[in-house]
Formats: sequence, structure tokens, C-alpha cells
Amino acid sequence: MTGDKTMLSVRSVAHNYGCGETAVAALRGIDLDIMAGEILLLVGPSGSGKTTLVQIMGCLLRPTQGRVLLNGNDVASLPEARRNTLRLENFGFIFQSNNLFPNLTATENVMVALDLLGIKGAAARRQARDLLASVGLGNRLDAFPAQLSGGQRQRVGIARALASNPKILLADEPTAALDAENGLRAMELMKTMAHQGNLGVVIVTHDSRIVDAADRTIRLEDGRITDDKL
Amino acid sequence: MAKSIPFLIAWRNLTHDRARFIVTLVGIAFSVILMGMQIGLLLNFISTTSTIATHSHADIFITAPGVTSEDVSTPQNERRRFQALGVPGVERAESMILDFSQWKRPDGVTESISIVGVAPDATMELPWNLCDHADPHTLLGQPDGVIIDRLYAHLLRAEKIGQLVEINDVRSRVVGMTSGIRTFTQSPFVFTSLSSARRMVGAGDRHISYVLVKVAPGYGIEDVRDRLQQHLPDTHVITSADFAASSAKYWLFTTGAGVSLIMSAVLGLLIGGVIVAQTLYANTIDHLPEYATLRAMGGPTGYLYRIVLMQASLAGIIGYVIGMIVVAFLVWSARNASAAPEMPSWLVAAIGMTTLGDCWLAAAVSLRVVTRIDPVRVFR
Ligand SMILES: Nc1ncnc2c1ncn2[C@@H]1O[C@H](COP(=O)(O)OP(=O)(O)O)[C@@H](O)[C@H]1O
Ligand SMILES: [Mg+2]
Repeated sequence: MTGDKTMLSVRSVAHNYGCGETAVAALRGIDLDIMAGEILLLVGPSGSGKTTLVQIMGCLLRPTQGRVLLNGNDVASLPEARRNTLRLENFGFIFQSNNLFPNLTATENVMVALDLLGIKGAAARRQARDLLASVGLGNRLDAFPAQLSGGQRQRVGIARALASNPKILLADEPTAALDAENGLRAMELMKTMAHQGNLGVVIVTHDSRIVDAADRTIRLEDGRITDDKL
Repeated sequence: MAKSIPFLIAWRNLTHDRARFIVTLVGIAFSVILMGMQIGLLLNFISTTSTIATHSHADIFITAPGVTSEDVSTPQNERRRFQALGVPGVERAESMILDFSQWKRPDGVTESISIVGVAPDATMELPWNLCDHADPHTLLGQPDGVIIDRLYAHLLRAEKIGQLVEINDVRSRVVGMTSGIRTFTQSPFVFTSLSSARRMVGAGDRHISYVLVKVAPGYGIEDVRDRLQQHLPDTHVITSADFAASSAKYWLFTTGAGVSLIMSAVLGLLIGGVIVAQTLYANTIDHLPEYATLRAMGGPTGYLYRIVLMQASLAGIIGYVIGMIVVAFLVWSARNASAAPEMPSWLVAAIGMTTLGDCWLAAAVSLRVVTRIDPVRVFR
């Protein structure tokens, strides 16, 4: 663990949903570092706080307590607009239900991420096509999400997440909706991309079949890290 | 032409639900039609209620006291004209008669008409838009000759020049026709000479309705008006522009016709706004996950606003074009009717701007929804 490879650090993070008597403690003091080029798997039973942790790491949710350091700077308390920009510039998200735009083609879906970064027109189209080709969808460029299988949709989602050239890729149960074969392929794809691009990758899963693909696995239980193995 | 990504999202999401999209367009088009026709009619009312003052070429009208509308005159003595001529700054002063009379058609039916009488050598309030480039002075010089408008030729059963008619028992002949001179009172204007007019309205030798005044070069119209009012205290002296405005106001507000036209136009605006607001809102709610995804991806608020506002603009522009095509057709169909809506280019532009503004205003509710969207919902 050399400091210069640390991309994101979570320090003493706790999170409560609601307050007072009805407060639910989702996270109770988490410390964690994300390294470049490393695939980190977050496992644990349902309700253990995995999604909450990923949301906090991705600047989607503010922790009740603790700090989130991105390149050494605490980002947990920055204003919303600033966090928005940080998300755009640093994170790629892969959602469980892939969240593609149903009325845009595969290519156009990837172009959305490029557009947000100011890459437009023919250049964006070319880049989107290359990305889709690299996830094996070179022959489905103009298909709408409804015309694609679940595995293909998830690969469009991966291509879209990678389009913004993120430093950190966050995925919440990306294989949950896929069958074993497609799940494994998506996993392999993320692994290749992470190692090639030297990204930090966090994948939430309780899919035991894909655990082998990880460089490191962290187990959460009741808002605490109970196991951390390389 | 490269379409931007927000445009693609806006357009595809807007048109994806065909039925809803069509309802939206019909709603906006309906609102445009309502606004266009009501305001077009309003303009027509304003110009027909003041047509005599507007086309007079006079600077000032001298009327009997209490006259507020050009169509409802009170007689006064022609002496006023000579008195007016003595006031500095008055270049010309001419007599005019404007009064109701009865037109007996060849088939015996009687129609109410408005007689406009000026001397054959008059320079003001001559019949305008004469057909066949006829000379108004020549026409007015023909004994008991009258000039009617083509719009009312059928109503008066005088479709040809030379037709003999009886006006208030005075035998007269149609000697000329104008085109497009509408009346608001439903009594068509019939132009004739001052002396014939007197007999046709059953008035005495010195009877007139108005004195028309032309101000000499170098004098201010308001100054001359004030001076005339001083010299003729028992009259009402008013500039032509003010007389036109007061005539329009009289009919629009005293009779309630204007208020109801304005209300309908406002209603059109409201209907359009409500329909757009409701569709945009439903559309935004339907696509909330997409907005949340954009937000999670780091899309700034302005980016989401752009999509919503583009949808509002697209719906507004397309609905407006459809509505205006219908309006153009209706205006064209009504061009020969007694109340033909007017559609000047400024009104076409103004309705366009209003519709667009209306749509943007209607987008406000959706913008609020989009502002408050929480990106964490995409990770559930
Ligand atoms: N929006 C919320 N409001 C209230 N409680 C929540 C909310 N989201 C999650 N929780 C609670 O926080 C705990 C952790 O949830 P979560 O992070 O989703 O766990 P996991 O992803 O591991 O299933 C659970 O007890 C869950 O019920
Ligand atoms: Mg979860």
C-alpha cells in the first residue's frame, strides 16, 4: 500500500438514515483505501451497508460523520455543485438496473457521458463506437436498449461508465440481473478495463461466482468491516 | 446538422408517447387559434370602430359636446366651420355629415345605412379604396350619386354601378364602389355629397356633424386644438388620433364587446399554459430515472434544465405553427365577412413569443422537480 497509488480514502465514516429514535445506523465507522489498478469487491448480507458505502464514496451521498478523501482532499463537505463536478470528472458508475436512456441507441447512450464532458459531434460518435466495440457490441451500435439482452445492456452501461475516462469505477451489483455466463463476462470486462486504464474499481456483489476475479475482498456486516483480505 | 444530445433526449422523450404528444400539440394549437382569432377580431373592432377618424386625413375634429364615438354624432351648425377658419393655425376647415339613414332596396326591403357626406371639392374624408381608380371628386359631383362598398353590395342589392335606389325618399344612383371599408354598426357607409347627405338624413341646410380641420404647416396640432377649444367653448375639439381612440374605447368597453374578446384571448393563453404544464410534468415524472442518472453522472442542473426547456420549446413551436396555419386559413376565409380578423405581422410574432413564453412558464413546475431530484435513487 504505497500512498501515491491511493485514489480514494474513507476515514471513520458513519452514516445514519433518519434521526432521533428512528435513526438507522447503516455504517458505523468505516476506514478504507481504494488503490489504482485494483479491483475491490464489497460483499456482505443484504442491509449491511454496501450500497450506502458506495454512494458515499461516489459523492452521491454525504456521510453523517467522517471524511472522504479524493487525492488527499476531503470532499464530503463540499457544496453540491462542486460534488457534481467531481462525480463527472472522477467517477464512472455502473448501476444494477443499468439505467440506460430507453429512447437513445447504444451509441447515443455512450455519447451522453461524452457530451457531459464537452465531447460532441462526430468525435463523440467515433469514440462511442470504439468503446462499444471494445465491450463486444460493435454490431449493435444502433440498437435501442429494449432491443438488447440484459448482458448487452449491462455492457452498454460499462461502456458509458468508461466513456468519461473515470479514475474510479463504482458498480453496485452489476451482475445481479445477469445469468452466470454474462455475469462472468461483465466481470472480466471490468477487470480488463481496470487493469488497462489503471482505475480503482469497487464492485458491490453478493454473487459468490465472481469473487475470484477480485484483487481484494472486503466483507461488511451491520455497517462494519469484518473481513479484509487481499 | 448535428443534433445535440440534450435535443435528442428532449425530442425522443417528447414524441415517444404519440398520443400524449398529439394532445399537447392540439392543446397549444387551440390556444394559438383562440388567441389569434380573438385578438385579430379585437384589432378589426378597433379599426372598424374608428375607420372614419383614421382615414379622414384631418388633424382635428370639431364635434358637438358629449360626442365620444364617431358613429354616434350630434348635429351642429355649419357656422362652426367659419368660426374655425378664423383661428390661427387652421389651414382648412371642411364640413362633414355622418348620420344614419334608410336604404330601400329594389325588392322593397329597407336597410339601415350610415351616410357620409362631404363637399365634392373636399380634401378630407373622401371615400378611399375606390375601385377602377375612380376620382372621388367627380363621383361626388354627380347629383344624388352615392358610393357604397363592395362588401355590402349584395346586402344593399346594388351589385352594379348605375343601380337606382331610394335613400330616405331621395332617388339616388350608385356611381362608384370602394373596397374593404367595413362598418362596426352593421349600417354600411354610403358616401355622397354634403347637400345630398343633408336630404338623405333629413337635416336642414346648415346642419353638419363634424368640422374637419387641417393644421397649417409649422403649427402644432395640440396647440391649434387648444386654441380652437378656446374660441369654440360650446363644442368638443379633439385630434383625429384621440377621436379614433375614443371611438374604439366607446365600443370596446361601453358595450362589453372588447372585454369579452380580451377575456377569450387570455383564456386561450391559460388553456395553452395548463396543457403544456401538465404534459411536461407528466413527461418529467415518467423520465425521472433518466434525470437522476444524468445527475449521478455529474450532469449539472443547467443540463437538465436544457432538456426540459427544449421540450417546452419544441412543443410550443410545433403547436404554434399548426395553430397559425389554421389561423391563416380562418383569416383568409373570413376576409369578406363583415368582421374579418386582422393578422398584422407584429401580431403573428407576438403570439409566437407569447406561446413560447407560456410554454417556458409551464415548464417551471417540471424544473422544480428536476432541481430536487436526488441522484442516490439510481443506486437503489
Ligand atoms: N433511504 C433509506 N432510508 C432509510 N433507511 C435506509 C435507506 N437506505 C438504506 N437504509 C437502511 O440502511 C441499511 C443499509 O442499507 P444498504 O446500504 O442499502 O445495504 P446493502 O446495500 O448492503 O443491502 C439497511 O438497514 C437499510 O434498511
Ligand atoms: Mg444494496
